[in-house]
Amino acid sequence: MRKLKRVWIYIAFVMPALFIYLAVIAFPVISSVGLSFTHYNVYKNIAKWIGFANYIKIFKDPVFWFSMKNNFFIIFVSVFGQIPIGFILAYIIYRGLIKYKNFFQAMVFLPNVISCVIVGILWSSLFSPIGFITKIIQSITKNPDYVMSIMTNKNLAMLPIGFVLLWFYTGLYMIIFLANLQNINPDVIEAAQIDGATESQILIKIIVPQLYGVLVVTMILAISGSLKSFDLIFAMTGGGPAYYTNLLAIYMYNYAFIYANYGVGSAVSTVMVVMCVAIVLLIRFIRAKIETMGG
Amino acid sequence: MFRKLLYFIMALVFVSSISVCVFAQEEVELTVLNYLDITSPEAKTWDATLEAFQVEHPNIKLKIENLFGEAYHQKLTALAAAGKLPDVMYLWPGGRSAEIYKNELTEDLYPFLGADKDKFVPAAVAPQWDGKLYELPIGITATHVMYVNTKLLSDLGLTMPKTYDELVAMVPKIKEAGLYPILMANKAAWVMQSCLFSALVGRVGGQDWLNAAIAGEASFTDQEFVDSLALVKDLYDTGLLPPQSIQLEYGDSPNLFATGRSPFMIDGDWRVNALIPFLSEEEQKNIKLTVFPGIPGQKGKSGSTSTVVATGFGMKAGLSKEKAKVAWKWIYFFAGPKASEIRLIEQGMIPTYIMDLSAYDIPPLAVKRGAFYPAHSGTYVLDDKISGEPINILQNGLQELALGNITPEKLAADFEAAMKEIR
Repeated sequence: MRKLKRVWIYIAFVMPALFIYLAVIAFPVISSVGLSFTHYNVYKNIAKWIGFANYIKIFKDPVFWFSMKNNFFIIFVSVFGQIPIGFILAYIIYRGLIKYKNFFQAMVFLPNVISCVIVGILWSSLFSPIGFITKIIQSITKNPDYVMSIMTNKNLAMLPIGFVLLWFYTGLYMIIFLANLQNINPDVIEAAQIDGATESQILIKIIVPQLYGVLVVTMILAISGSLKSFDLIFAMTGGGPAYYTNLLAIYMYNYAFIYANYGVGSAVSTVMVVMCVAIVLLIRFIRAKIETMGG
Repeated sequence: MFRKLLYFIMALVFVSSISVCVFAQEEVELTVLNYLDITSPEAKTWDATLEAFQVEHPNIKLKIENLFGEAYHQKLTALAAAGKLPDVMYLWPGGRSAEIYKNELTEDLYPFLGADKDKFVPAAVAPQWDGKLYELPIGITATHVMYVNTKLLSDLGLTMPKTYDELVAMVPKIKEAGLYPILMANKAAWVMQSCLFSALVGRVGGQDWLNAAIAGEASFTDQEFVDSLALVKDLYDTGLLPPQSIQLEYGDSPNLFATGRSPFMIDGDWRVNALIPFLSEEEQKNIKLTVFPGIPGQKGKSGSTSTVVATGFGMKAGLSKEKAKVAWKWIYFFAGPKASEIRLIEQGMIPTYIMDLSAYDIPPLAVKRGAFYPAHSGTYVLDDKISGEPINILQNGLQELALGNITPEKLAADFEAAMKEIR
């Protein structure tokens, strides 16, 4: 009887948060998956079942695949750019390898406190044909007609965006790694130094293994953030010119909110969720394998 | 006796107080969803309009929500889905509001307009969708205007071009002076379609072919449309539109034109509002409003632009008779003489309500805008007639055309395929 009473008490405490989770997260996700199999007239709130037609439509659309390619580019920048650079900066600050580390720590993290949209508009102005960066290059090359053609190149238009993403988000990962580095027992590092270990040996054999968990978490954060990336690029280019900097989230936005085709928009968001779950499972599998091999 | 008198006086007071309530005007509330950027100069005009309305209709209480851009369209869609549309809302003649009309969510305004139809410019009260009038427009918009800085042109030793070839021949001299031959901010994909291409299609293909193509009786793979697209490509190939054009933000063009960065600017008539603050009255006199010069082999009318009626307010379908009358009072007021006068003075906006404009002291450039409409016939603005995926394919394709990544034939084929799906 007492056990039953305890169970009811547990349920009572969990219910409010569970209710909010179900209402705000779980229900919209499930209904979005359901909507993806329908043609939904939002103005009359009528959904008509059409099976996989929305999925076939997006899989046949070259713009969808181009947008996915751009998302993979952002994943690449996050996982192989933001995380390693963030880690290196955190390591340099943690080991005191430079002077004025507090100042550099603040400067690297500062972009993160600015609104995404403002950052997008700022960099869009800087890269503009009448912007600061173009003017600098024009005066260096003495060519008054110079224009940054990389911004309109079909295959290279994402590069300036990759640069801005690095500038904007690296500080966040630096702070995460710094916090975890500070949890490492300094006696272990001191003991290694006494035993004659070099800086690189300390890094590779002592510090990195203790950060496997954090590395997996940051990779999951980076990948899920990259797949749903929207606001910075939307403010910078709107997905243009044409669709050259389009992303899955912008593609979904256009279908759902500009063409009022919520069925296709839901299909895109379902694909994004499935991709995210698949990549995260893959990372966890790889981590488990590495830990088994290391053990 | 005294008690009888007291009862009689009480009864008199009671009856007279009821009758005061009966004969006094009831206050009616009207919910309004308005499209307004409250940080823009238009907000001042809106406040003045509201004040004037309240003076004329003190018993109508307006419950207003102001939204702008995508936030407005999304809120309207959400309200429509929930069955909670406001009594009156800001609408477009087609385009983004087309879905609202297709789903019959707003009321036809012709029965309310009645004989007052003759008080408005005929084009403004022409049927908008399915033979009905769903919003009462406050103006006519010419989406294609070629602004010419005549002083800059003569300083360069050039004269007004009458043909496309004459315009192309000017490119070397203008570039030598370090200027853009034509200033057009094409970073946003809609600008080329709305502010130039729509007019070019009407000119190159002619109105008869365009009507047939939109109705599905002709194809967008016909030579008329392919030639229109090829002309856009030619604008970039000849250097008339420089490479900078496709990276220029829309908000940058008035400043650049006003500071003499180019003798020609192509944009909509609404740009007059943005140019006036940058130019003195003397400088405004040097600006000419015209259209793209004659194109060889054009089937459409010379000197034509692309026009669409402007926005205005419409009312929700299914309002009660009394509520609908109140809603109509607001809709009519907003396009009527008093509100039009306020917009004319504050923004130089030419009204659809027929009124004598000579008495008003308006900026020279606004006077030129008023004179522009009767001087140029209009073809369609494509995004008023075609919405959704096809217009997006066209707009993105026009940018790809500019960058040399698609051919006119391929774009025409893609556009026709998208149109077939929605017809």
